Amino acid sequence: MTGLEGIAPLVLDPPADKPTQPWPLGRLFLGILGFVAFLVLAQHGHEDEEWRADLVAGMAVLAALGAWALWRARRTILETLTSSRFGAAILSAIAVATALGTFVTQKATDKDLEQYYGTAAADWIDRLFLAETFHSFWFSGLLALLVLALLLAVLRRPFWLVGQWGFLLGHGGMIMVVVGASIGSRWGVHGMLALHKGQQRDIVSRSEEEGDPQGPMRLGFALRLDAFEVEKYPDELRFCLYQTKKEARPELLQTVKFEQAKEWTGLRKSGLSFRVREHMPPTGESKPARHLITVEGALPFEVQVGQTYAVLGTQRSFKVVEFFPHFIYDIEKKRGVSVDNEPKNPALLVEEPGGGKDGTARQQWLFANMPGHGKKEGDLPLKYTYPGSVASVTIETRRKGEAAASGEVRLAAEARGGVCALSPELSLVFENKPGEPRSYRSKVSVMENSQAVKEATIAVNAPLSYGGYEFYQSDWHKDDLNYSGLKVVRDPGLGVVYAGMIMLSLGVCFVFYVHPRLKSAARGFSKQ
Amino acid sequence: MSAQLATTVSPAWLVAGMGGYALTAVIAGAGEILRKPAVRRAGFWLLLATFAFNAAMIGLMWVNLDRPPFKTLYETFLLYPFCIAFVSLVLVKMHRLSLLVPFAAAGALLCFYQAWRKPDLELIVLPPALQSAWFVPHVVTYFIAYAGLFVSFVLAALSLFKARGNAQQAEDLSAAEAPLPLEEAAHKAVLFGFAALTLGLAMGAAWGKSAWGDYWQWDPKENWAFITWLAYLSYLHLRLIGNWRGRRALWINLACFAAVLFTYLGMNMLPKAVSSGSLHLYQ
Repeated sequence: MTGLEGIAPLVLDPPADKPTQPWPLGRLFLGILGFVAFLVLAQHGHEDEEWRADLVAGMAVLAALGAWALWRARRTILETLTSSRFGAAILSAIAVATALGTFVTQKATDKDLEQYYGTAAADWIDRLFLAETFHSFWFSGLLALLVLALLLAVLRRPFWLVGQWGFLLGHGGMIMVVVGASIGSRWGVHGMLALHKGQQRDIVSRSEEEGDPQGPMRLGFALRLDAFEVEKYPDELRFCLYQTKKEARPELLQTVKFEQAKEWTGLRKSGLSFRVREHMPPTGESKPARHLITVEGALPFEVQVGQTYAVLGTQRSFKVVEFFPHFIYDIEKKRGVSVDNEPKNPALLVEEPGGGKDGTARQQWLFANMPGHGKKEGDLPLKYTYPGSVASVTIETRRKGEAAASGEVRLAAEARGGVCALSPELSLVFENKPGEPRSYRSKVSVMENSQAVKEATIAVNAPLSYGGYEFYQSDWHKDDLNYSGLKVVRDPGLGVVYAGMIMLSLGVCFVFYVHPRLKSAARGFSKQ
Repeated sequence: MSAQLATTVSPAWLVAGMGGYALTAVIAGAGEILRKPAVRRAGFWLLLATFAFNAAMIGLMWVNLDRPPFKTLYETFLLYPFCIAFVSLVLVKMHRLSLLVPFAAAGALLCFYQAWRKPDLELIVLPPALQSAWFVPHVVTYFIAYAGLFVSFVLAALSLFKARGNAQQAEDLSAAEAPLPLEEAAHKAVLFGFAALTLGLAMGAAWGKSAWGDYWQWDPKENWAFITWLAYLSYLHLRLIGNWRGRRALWINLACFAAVLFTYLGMNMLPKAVSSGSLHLYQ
């Protein structure tokens, strides 16, 4: 095969006039496995800094086998490395290795690995460095072998012939991608710059987690965070229909937007339609008659002070003892009190009969503004929603096919706020879904010698380039909107990688589509 | 099906789309079995009409959602049949592969059925990272690639099916048929799909760089896109070895498509993919 027959080949096969005996695929695969095993042992020696006798013996055996194999193949080694067989074998080996890396949780701790896979499997994962597949010696070795094969294949091609350009672009592109990535990995910078509003920093933190374990680094200039902005999509008032089956979490069956529900709207599996009759904005009432409680993993329900309620799925129950609109803890009285009737820190005191030691009642505080605050082991899994701070609606329902409304229910809107049981399994919830972030933006100033020399806005997909570094919007905290995490990158191999990708793409298109047409044209020309 | 879809497309549209692809599969299949050119032509035009309808659905969703409708699994179940129909129509026109029409329609029907079975129950907005000029070209190029590789899978399966029991034909499929042997057609579809995969991979890398600062993050979906690419590249190399053409190459082609399916639908099975919150995961 010469590379000019049929669909153009990507790899040069041995010329027909020089018969050689490249190794069959199976043996090539075994050879690559041996190479991988050698690298695994080498990494153990490198990481443990202890070259044990069995390790050295194993490496020596593998090295001897490798040397023997190379010696046996000395006449065909070049043909083998540049053959389609070897290309297929090394590509398949990298594919298998990459797949292994996706089935094993990467960068997991030994403890996590034992928990996920059991002790024996975790041991093997550790021995073969499978939890760090993509940064292991053996994976890098496979890539190096690929580059060697590609390089030899490229060097053997007559690059001055137009017919070879696609091959050279494609294979050369792959080499450049791997080489460029290696340059970036070896000499690049990957770090984080954590800033609070008004703060300026010039030290980048680098850690293994960020792919660069070389420790803090000074930039040579500083970045000051002038402002951090989060733009959100609008909140969405909506109705959600849930189905609850035994022991399972409620399954969402349908959502209906508030605006849409002003008209009669069918509800799946219920035989009912509903519409909004009245919409009431938040009342702010300080002593609502009903409160909303959610048991973990279930839908919310309304409760009243003085009443006792069972916790579904358990033998436990609780009584709502008292409501405090503005809860504080009075140190002198050593108990919770309400400062006034302003609902600034709404709290409910609930009591579980027989839940305490010696069969006494056990008390538990539920805070609307601080879910989980003061929670102790053994407490009931309850969440409290204060209903006076949210909108509510009155809906009416009717059977499908009937003209008149047959029922009326008032619902409060909060995240999982108001609920209406349509049947033992179906519940309609009125909720206010908070808008998700649309964009994050950091307004920053570049500071040199205490002077702002440049102002810029960094957003996702819009990084800042300055002083040979690029700054990416990478992190934020919903509870601290004065904080912004910027990723700092310097990648000296990036240009090589991009050039490689362009070459690869052009090469593939050239080999598949341009080259065959050039050949046809050349054939037509020679016939004339 | 419920009213919640009024914000994307009506369930009636989905049913109509399913009907269009089902009818195409039946008519075009009948045309192939009966070998009636007129019925084959009817199948082709039906596929074209359903493709146009599918395009209109995507356009409507785009307008209603105010974003490209390529974010959720449900949305891709409408994009993928669009791409399958598009690639098949082009191939049928270029190479007179009318045999492809019923299978393309059946594949598209399966996607529509999945969309109908599991529609999006709520509006999904685009997170900041997906608000990029790369979003549409990257996703569309990938689905065009997947469509080309689906077509290749179908042609390879048909080629093997036609050659069953005929050892000679099985060994030399590329010389057995005219005008374009199925094995050759399957290979050409792989070339097309592979070229699109390469472009999609490059675009994804450029996008990743502009959004996160890394052109490659060893994200499970990235890895499986890479594995798919390597699998087809191995196929292309193996096919250059004399005795790997014909039946062997066809079987490898079929196996490679498993990687495509896993990349598309299997990411939730992987441990890292579930916990990483990757934007590559479908909601």
